Amino acid sequence: MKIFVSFIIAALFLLNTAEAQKVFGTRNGQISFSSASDQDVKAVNNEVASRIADNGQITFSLLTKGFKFKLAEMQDHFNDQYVESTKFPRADFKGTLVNLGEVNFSKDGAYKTSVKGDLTLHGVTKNITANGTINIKDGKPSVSCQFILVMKDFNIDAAKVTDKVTVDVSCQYQ
Amino acid sequence: MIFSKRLLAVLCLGLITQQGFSQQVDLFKMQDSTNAANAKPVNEPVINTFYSTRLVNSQTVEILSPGSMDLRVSHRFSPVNQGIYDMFGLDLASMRLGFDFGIVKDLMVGIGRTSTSKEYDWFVKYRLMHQKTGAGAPLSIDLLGAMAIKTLDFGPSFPATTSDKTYYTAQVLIASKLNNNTSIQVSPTYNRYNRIIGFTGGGLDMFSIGFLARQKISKRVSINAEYFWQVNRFDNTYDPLSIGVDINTGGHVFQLHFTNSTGMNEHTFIHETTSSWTGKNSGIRWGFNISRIFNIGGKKK
Repeated sequence: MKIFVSFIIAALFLLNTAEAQKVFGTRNGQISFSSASDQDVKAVNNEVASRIADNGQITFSLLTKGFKFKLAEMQDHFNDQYVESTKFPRADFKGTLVNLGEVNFSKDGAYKTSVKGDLTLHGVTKNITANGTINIKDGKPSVSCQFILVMKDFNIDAAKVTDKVTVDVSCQYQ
Repeated sequence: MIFSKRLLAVLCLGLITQQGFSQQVDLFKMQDSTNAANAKPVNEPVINTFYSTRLVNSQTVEILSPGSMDLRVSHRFSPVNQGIYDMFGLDLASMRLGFDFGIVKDLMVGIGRTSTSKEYDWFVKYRLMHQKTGAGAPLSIDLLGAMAIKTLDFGPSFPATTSDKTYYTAQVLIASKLNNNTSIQVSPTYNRYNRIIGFTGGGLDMFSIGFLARQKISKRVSINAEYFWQVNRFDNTYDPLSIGVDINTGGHVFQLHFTNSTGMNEHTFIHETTSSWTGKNSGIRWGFNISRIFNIGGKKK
């Protein structure tokens, strides 16, 4: 009897460990954006802090000053006039995987997915949806996705340069 | 005995699964607390104290980024009070065409030519201290060295060598971006003449202090004022005072102003202004600078 009870408790422990949530993170995620209408608009931020958990939550956080442009003057205008980095130093995203059931974090492979959540930029929070892929390799996920960002939605007045940009997200998690 | 062991098992089961559920993570809360922990006051170089490297005539503490070229076209017209026949001064204009280059961080050079007196000028501007948003650097301080040569031939009745027509300028530019909208600058200036032509009084060593102020009235438009107080001056000259508006369109900066001075380099606009704003010698004239920055250096940093 004693053995039986101990066995049950041990089994429950093991079961429990299997159910513990997995959280993956990175501090060097990459988010870049470019404009289809203006070749010169190209910037990359390689210091994106991001976390993804197997409960479907995914978050991104970056410093707007971390976007590096090829043209120095454009970077100055971006920080000073467009995103106003001194007033709004960070941009954040908090979202959830729409099709969590189709993604198996324990099994290597490529999973097409879609994420929906709140993007806060320039003091404005807007719900966005983005399509992308989660690749699981050796148990570690990497995320890549692309979406269109309309500047006016976030009160960014860059009409003289471009109306919208294509945002590329690429993060490898540990 | 058996009953209590079963009870023990059920209790353990309850406890374990309870612990399991309390391990639920919330990434959103994690992000909020990480951001709050990371929110520390930043200490970075202040950018865009002024929209351009010049305010009206005077140099500002702004330095071009390395690899940039600034094409500058400046016009100064004749006094507005000349009436409609001369289209309020627009018919008679002097023009300066200049090219400024950002060399390395905190260093820029420039060359230019003014139509009046067919004068060539060039300068080097170096940023000694860059104002920071946090502690440690309350001001931006630049050093400027410039030279100018008038190549106009004054004619056989007025022989003058090239050396006679060469001018030197040394300036210290001290500026502070008080807040996002207001910037001020003080510029002690020294101009050296090898020979005084066309004026009496003064001396070969001329001193002045410039006072500049900029007030942003919208994200892209600012109102500017520039005044130089001459410590010593030539006879019948006045201190230059200019009031202007800057329009920053991203690629271009349009600087429109009213001023009493005609010159566009240091020794002329500070010490050779023959019109005043008021009184019998008044001659307020309209003028503008257009600045367009090109990237000629390829990949930056």
